[in-house]
Amino acid sequence: MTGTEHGDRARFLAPARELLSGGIHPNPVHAPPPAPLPSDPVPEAVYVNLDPGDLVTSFADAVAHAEGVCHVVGGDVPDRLLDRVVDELGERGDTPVVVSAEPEARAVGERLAARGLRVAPATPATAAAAGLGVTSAVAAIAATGSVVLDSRRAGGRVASLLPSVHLCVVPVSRLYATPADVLRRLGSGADALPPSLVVVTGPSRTGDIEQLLTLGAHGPTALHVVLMTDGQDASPTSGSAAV
Amino acid sequence: MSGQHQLAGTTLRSRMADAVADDRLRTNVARAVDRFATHRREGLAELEDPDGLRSAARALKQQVLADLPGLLERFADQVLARGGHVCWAPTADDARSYVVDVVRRHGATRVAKSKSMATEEIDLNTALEAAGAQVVETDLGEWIIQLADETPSHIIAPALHRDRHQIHDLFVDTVGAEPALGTEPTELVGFARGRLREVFLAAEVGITGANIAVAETGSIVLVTNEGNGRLVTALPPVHVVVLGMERLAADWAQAELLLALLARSATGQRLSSYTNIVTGTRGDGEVDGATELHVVILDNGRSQLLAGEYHEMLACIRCGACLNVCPVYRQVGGHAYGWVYPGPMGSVLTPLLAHDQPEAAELAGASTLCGACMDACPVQIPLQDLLLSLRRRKAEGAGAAERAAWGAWAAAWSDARRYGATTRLATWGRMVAPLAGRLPVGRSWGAGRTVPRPAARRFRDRWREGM
Amino acid sequence: MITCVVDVVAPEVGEASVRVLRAAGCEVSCDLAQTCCGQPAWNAGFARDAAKVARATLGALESELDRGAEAVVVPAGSCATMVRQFWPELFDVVGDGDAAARARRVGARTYELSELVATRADALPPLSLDRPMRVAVHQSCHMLRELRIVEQPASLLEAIDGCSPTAWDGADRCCGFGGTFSVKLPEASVAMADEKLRALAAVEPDLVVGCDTSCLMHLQTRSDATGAPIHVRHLAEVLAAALPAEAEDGR
Repeated sequence: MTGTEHGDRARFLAPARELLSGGIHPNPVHAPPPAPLPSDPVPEAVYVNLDPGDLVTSFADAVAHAEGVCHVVGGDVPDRLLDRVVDELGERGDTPVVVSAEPEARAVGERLAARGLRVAPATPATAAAAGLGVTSAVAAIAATGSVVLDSRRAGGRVASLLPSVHLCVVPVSRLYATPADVLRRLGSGADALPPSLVVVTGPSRTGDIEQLLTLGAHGPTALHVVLMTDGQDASPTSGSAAV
Repeated sequence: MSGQHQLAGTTLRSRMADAVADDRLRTNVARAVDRFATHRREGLAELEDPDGLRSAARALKQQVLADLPGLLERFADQVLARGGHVCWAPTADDARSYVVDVVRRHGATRVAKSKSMATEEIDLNTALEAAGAQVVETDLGEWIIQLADETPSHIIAPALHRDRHQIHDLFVDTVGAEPALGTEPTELVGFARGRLREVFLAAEVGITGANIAVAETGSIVLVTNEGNGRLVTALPPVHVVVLGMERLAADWAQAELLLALLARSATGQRLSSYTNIVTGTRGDGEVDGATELHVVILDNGRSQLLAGEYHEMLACIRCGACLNVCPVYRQVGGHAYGWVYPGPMGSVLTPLLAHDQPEAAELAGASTLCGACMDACPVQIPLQDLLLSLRRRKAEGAGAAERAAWGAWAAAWSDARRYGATTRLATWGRMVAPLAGRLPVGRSWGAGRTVPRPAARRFRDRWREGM
Repeated sequence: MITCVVDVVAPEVGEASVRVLRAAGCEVSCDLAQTCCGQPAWNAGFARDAAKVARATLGALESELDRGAEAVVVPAGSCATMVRQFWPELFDVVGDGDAAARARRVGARTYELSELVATRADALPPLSLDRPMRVAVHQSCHMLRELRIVEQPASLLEAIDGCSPTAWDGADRCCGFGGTFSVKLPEASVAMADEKLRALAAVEPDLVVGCDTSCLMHLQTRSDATGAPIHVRHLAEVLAAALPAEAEDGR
């Protein structure tokens, strides 16, 4: 269903069209660079901190740099990690867990439920009361330590947003090198963009009090990313390829 | 946002004088901008060829502006195709009326706002409150100044003029925080988190700005660290975006380059905690997200800047880097600039957008033209050149006394003999130098500085005598 | 190009500049038809007035070039910037395309003093001070950010035996002079000077050295008024004082 348009777009755009039709006055002293040709690509940033030959280590370092915690594991999420989750949630009282609709998140949810935790699909009501939200991601980005959340795949947004801890499990097959690798494809893909696509880089934070970094402003206070590789636990695989 | 901007009825000089007399303010501001500037340098150092990227960003913004009408149409069509509503708002009043209408139609009384300088510019909150809605700012810094009935003093960190003790006392005085609440940032933030969580959950309408609007897909990009931008777009059933018409990128390649520079320029982060890309309304099978999306495209004087001398100012991505390196801003903070946009970018935008206020014109003089802002701007806006253009515009309307003074100076100094005579007089008049304190110019200089004395024999005298 | 400030307020800077240039093997001329580069009016937005004055100086400098001068040397960074960077725009703005073209020619041959001397540093005789001095270099804004003259002042000073440039906080931050800014917004201007002076007080240099008399004068007059005087010198004066006595040209 299309939306409605209010106001007269031709009238709105007329002043702009008229002014631009007379050509653009260049700045004489600090002149702008020559206009790129239509065939010139917009340059991509090259990141000094990124090792293109070892995306896994770059990613893990970048997650930590952004105040997140990265667990590189071989295969599936290991039991010891889930046991730790149970212990920590237990210490914080009987807080429930919410999971997104993604199969990877549901799978973790089932294993946590088997350990006695209350696990529910995420909705605003359940997530608001939960101490932990589990999601997957459609991509992870090595240069920035980001995970990319897709509301269509996840069935919503709140699992990664309302609980104070966000656990994100993502397979290494979705690890990309740079934000450009993920974001520059967005327009050209066959799939329309989801209603919400969020590039998450670390937990929520604010510097509004004396510019001192404080985590957990309105979103999660802690972000744990589990990167599931094919190799041994915590050993970086080389040349993780983007699909 | 609350509080009143001080532009009308005060002078730039008086606002600056008040600010430099406030030691606590100066300390808070200097601490903040030093941190930002240091982090920015460190963040950019992680990029190969940051200047090349800045130059490319400038070029792409030029392209966007050259194609702006077509891109806006494309953007609007994409938004409409995804079920969003579009309002074309030539004036601030058009924008306010539309948003108030949306709020009224829903019978909404609780509005949650994520930070938006464009909504400050059009004073949207006042209009919403007049329509019976309670508006709560959810960005922590904006909430703080809302509670304090102040205006923002920095475009990224609106409350940087307040230290932790002032914020603590504010929470106690205005929202019933226990005096026993600690002054550690974690405690203050924790308190705000709890209070504002209730606001997010209860809000009926969420209002945001937009950092970038991507024409290719009709997407709005919201860059935040706190998560309030996500909460405001995830929970309330209605989402209203107020978008400055110039904040476009044609496609995702352009948007991505701007994003690569934005967070680094603002705070030094590789990316902010949340880069939230909103496209259309809640999908089937999603448990949250707005079911109704309105994008208000705001002109409010921007289109008038296209293609002319001030064209490049429209490239601004509101990162605040220029504020953080400005030696003047450092001494006075944001309120001295009197309006929504402070620092170097504000010194250019205020005379251009608030042109109906006569006091706006003198903002062009709020700079020593040191050029630090141009070196910091991620899209290489030639701020110094724009300030000089504004000064020329202002000089056209200068008073008779000022015009006469420069005219006399030019008449004398455009000829070596007359120059020689006047400067010799000055030399003879060096005995008069102590009297210079009686003249306005001399008083301005002399209040705080000794007055320099011309030399008895000028260089040209000595040269003539043989050197 | 003398610059009006040096001519009227600090002629010793001009004299020192001449000595240094000669010691570096240059023949120095000075066409007294010059007046001022016009910057004060340009910065205040009075372009016509600025252009009137600038034309006189443009003519004088052009004549020098016509007579065989190879370079125009300016003992002031902001004036050198005016000539090299802003004169073409100034004349274009007032619609004098001919002067703009002439200004481009002159500007291409115009150098700030330290910029030029640094290219001829090898030609200078050995430089030394009577007593060792720690100097703090103030990098004035136009020179630094428009002309991109970054290391030359410090490297010239380092080459002087007994002279040690010392780092200090905010060395490249604006001093707050800014031409008419200093008298239109004096409180802010003074606050900016005070911040520089506090930073200088933290390192206690023997001398504060810069390439722009306006900046130095602004800092000096503020420090004099607050009773914590600093000692400023233009770079040319330090170099000239470091010249061996017999290297001075005996013309």
